[in-house]
Amino acid sequence: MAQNLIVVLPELVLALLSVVVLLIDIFSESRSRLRQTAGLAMMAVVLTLAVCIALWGKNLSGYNGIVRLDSMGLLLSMVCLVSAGATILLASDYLRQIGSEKTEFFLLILLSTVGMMVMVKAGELLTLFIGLETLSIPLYVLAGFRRQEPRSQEAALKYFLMGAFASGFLLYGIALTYAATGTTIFSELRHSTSTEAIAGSPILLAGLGLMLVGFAFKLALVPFHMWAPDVYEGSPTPVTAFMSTGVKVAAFGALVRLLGGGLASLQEGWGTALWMLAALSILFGNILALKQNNLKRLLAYSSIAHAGYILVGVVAYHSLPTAFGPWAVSYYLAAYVVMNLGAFGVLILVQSRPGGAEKLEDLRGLSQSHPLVALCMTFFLLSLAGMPPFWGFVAKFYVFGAAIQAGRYYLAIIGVLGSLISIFYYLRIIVEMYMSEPTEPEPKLSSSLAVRVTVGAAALLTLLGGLFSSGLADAARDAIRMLITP
Amino acid sequence: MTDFIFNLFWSMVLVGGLMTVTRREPVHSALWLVATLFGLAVLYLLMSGEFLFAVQIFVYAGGIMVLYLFVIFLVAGSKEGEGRPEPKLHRVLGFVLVFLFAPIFITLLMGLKVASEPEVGPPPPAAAVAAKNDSLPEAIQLNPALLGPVEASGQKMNTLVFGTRLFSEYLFPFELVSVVLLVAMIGGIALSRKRFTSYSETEEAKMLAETVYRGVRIAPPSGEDPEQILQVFQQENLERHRHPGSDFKVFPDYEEESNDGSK
Amino acid sequence: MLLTFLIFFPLVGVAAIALMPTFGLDKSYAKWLATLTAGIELLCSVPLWIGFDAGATGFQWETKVAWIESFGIEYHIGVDGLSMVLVILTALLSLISIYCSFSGITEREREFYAFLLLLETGMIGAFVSLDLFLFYVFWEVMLVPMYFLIGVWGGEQKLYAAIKFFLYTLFGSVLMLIGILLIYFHYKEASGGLSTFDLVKLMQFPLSAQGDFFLGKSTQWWAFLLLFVGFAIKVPMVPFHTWLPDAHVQAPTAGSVILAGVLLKMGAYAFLRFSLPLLPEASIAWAPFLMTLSLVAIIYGALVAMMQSDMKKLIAYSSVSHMGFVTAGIFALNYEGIAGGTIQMVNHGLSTGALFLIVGLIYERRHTKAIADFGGLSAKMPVYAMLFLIATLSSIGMPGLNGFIGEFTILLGIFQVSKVWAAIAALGIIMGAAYMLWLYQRVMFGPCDKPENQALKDLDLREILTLAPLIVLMFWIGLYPKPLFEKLDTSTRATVEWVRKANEASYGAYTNYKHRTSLQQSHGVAGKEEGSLLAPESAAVSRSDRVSGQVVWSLPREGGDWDRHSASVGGGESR
Repeated sequence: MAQNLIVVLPELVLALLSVVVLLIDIFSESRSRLRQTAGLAMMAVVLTLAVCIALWGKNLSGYNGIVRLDSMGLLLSMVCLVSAGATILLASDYLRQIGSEKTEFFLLILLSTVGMMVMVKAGELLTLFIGLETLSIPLYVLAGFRRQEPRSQEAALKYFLMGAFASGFLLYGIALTYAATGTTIFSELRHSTSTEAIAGSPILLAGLGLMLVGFAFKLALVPFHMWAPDVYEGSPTPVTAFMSTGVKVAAFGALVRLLGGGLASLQEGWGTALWMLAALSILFGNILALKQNNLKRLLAYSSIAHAGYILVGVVAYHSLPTAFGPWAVSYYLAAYVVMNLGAFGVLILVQSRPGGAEKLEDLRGLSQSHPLVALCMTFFLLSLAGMPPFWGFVAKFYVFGAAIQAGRYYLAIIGVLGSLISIFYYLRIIVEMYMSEPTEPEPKLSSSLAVRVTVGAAALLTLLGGLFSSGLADAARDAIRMLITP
Repeated sequence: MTDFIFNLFWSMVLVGGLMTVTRREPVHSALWLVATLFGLAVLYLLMSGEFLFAVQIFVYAGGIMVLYLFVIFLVAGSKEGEGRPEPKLHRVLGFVLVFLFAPIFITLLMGLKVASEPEVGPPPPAAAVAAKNDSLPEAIQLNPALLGPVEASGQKMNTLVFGTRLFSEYLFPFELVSVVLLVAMIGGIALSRKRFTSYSETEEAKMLAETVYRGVRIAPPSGEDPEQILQVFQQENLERHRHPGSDFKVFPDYEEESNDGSK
Repeated sequence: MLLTFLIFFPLVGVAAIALMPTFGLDKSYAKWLATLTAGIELLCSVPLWIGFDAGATGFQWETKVAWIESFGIEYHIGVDGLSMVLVILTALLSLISIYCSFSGITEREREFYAFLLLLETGMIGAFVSLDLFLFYVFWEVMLVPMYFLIGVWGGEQKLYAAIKFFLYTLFGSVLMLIGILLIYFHYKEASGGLSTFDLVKLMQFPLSAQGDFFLGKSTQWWAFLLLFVGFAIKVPMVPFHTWLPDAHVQAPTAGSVILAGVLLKMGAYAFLRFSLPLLPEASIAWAPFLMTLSLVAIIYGALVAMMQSDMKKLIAYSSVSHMGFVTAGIFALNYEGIAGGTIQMVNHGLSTGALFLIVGLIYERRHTKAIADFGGLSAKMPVYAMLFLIATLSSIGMPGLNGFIGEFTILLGIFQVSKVWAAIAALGIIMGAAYMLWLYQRVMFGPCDKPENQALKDLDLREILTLAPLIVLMFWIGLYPKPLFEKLDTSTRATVEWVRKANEASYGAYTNYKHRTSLQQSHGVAGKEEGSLLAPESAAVSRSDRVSGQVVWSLPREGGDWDRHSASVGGGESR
């Protein structure tokens, strides 16, 4: 029993702390309640991070294999927590600016993070599903957090409907998988799908297909991506940042566990489906991003493309202990979260100008009025584009390397071509910042320390991650070793 | 007989689902949803899931649907004549309800009888179940491993096994559901609460003033009366604050609506 | 340690420039900080030349530190003769390009000099990297500052030119990355699970040159193709050259100098450093094709240069032609060709760098680069006219100046492969003389009939100082090239030898290409006709020494690579 509790300790801690924050918040009379709750939520995140770090190196499984505590789970949990912490830091001023000072924002972020952490540690389909719901429901609410803004309402509705669809597909897939194999636990799935009769069962294949569709919706992979740009654009920017990072980490973590851990013997089936999704996402995500003038939409399409790159790592799954497909996935996720959060942080800074919008032109001449902010943004964009020596490059290198090792050269080439296309629109932003003269003297950006520190830290990490990536890469590799040899 | 009931109810679920999403009247949709949920309940029973059957009836068809109907009548029924079923429809609905309830109660009784009296018919032996499974088309055959536990634990033990597993093996996801509920509650409150208490009129005014101030600073008036520009700004901002997102509403403003209704 | 210092010292300058406001320095100090940094850098690169042991095989000043251990990626740097010379050239041209920008750059100076120094880090890093991954990183690091230099401080169509430059180069380099990964995974398989990107280690298990990897071609053939696209765009070789005129014309003077002087060398250098040693069989297989492309570049570049009305564009196309000589020399795959190609890289850096400086000087005065706007300048600006003349003569290969040495040696190399090709290349030299002298005549001679040109001032001391080192080096290489050949001898010999050995091992001999005969002849020819150009030591090395299989490259001998080769020879014979 004690082991069971240790396995779910981080989630337990975070959920309990959320309730504590909720109670303090309810009975608080403070005038600066928003700031107070943000601080408390941040403390909860930091404490949970500390718990994760304390548990590092453990490899346990709890509740009969339903939850697994291993390096990959902890690593991705920490990435989710980083994403949540950054979102909290980015949001506190933003909420005041949009005139929606509701402290529930932070609670919803915390509880959504609980769901993410469950997903990346799930060793069983139902737990995975409930984790997904815990993750999603707060986001439906958060997407509509700007109640005065019609686009935000539209985003909430779209996200809710699409999320419901995705959940439906996933659940149906889970049911069929259970029908075919008689179990929902990954380790047992692995065992039972190793027999020819079950592995070839049409029910199982249908279940697998439906589950993949559910995941594809959640991850906004082409052709299941239609909702993403609208939702990303309409949601409050910190929520968009959280959605485009945390959700992807959780869903990819779960996907790697399910496919790599549970359904490895069906690799032929899901490999084919996923490589097509990956190729489509990379190509269309990048091509559609080219003509966007709204930065949030642009980043939305870019995140679709990045989901495609990450998927390349999943496709390159290889059951050898030396293989690094899933390892590259974890690594890429960590890098992607940092650089994407940074880019959204800059966006929030720019939006803090009075009348500050999210159009490409709003960045014009940023390098002259705010050279440091522009420099940070350049770091993020070049990293997203996969230029060395930034972190994004090392991550892409791993992913495409995994594809080549798995013999999927065409995927590596498609990925590389996609990165090339992506250069166009990342450069467009840089051109606006550096090579266009500002039309009029721009007012100063809001000087919120929290946002600045977040952006600065992300920029530093983006650079250092590329230069000194050895440690993290090794951690990620250990994580996958454990996954492959349970 | 079982086959007949099965066919009847799955078609009911299907038709009910279709009708739920195609009806224009929310009340009709809700009632068709009730039919769907009932049908599902019966299907559970046919698969020896008495516990699920009961939960489905009590929680979904009983509790949640009643809440739905309350809400629909509160919101949509505010205007005279709209949203209320017409007399003719009353009769149709009556038939629907009878059509629904009669077989359900019959089945319920039958089902309970089957479940409580093993002497009526012994549970089919494993071999028979397997044979039946084998006789199905290959595409929909079930995993033999799945058939085992049901037979071993016996139909009588179904609820017991269910409860035991839920509270031991599946304790974690089960407890996690409480987080989902908490989240839903917080989210509901966050969405429905119109305005945060500290976000007072004065604060709004302050923000407005700031916007105006900044607006003036960004675009200094050239040859125009600053006072006039200020007024235009104020007017615009007030307009915007008074009708937030008036052209698109996903979550209708209940407060205002009900005030109108009570008039 | 010296090399590490050379790579990262410019970053100190970048940091100093970035921190200037903190210390209350006026922004006009940026150029002096940059000059100081680049000056120290150049001074510190001189010990490389002095301390370089021309006779030693392998790499010198090596540093090897593990970087990303899980992939066997190392921070492995070192120089041989080839890269040593190019590092010094880079340091020199960086200093000159900073010094020449004092008057031309008036806006956003701090950023400008910071980018130039960042570029220097990238270039030197790329020249000394011996790890493919590290090389790729530096290769891309060069790209971004150059993009900004063109895009922010460029001419009217700067954005178009900058983005074109960026995308072209990036397109090549990502294909190159796939090629690198192909080599990496091949090594991993062949060595039984070892991971490395180290050039020296990778040479132990060359990619399979036989067999059907894809479309009937071998792995090595495809890897060569992937690397080739990346390198050829950078050179640029002919079908990939279209970014160059735009980039050159739009770039500020400093950008043009660096671009022509160093960045174009990067592609040719990479052929020598990576393609030939790692993919020797494929190099032979591809050589006729590449040679053809090079000759096309020589003739086509010269023809297009003749038609230009813009001075910068003319010099840009002359670069295409001259770089055609360099690649032609390299893919002659014999000693003279490669040595000449290397020398020509340096020459082209000096002479084209000087020409771009000269155009920049007149552009600062007149704000036009159109040839038609000038005429008769020699009377108004005698010093300018003289320096321009020297640079022109150097560019067209006048004996006594550096261009002659390079082009003549290259022609010797090509001649051994094919007399027809040598004739075509020689035609290119004549055409080069035509368009350069015509340019000089149109700008310098004739009546000075434009009123704007009447009041032109001659060069001041700073401007002469920017050009002086280049002129001195032109004469030095032109009159006494022996030290340069000496320094280059060992690495050149090692490359030629390595390619020949690998092909002998694979094919029994050079059975599929004329190079077999050319190589056997080359030693005799070198001794007889070109002995004066070669270092005495290298000329003294007898033919039998070279053929006897003393691999001069610093290869670990215990790797078992020869076993593999002999095995494949056996296979070849039985066929």
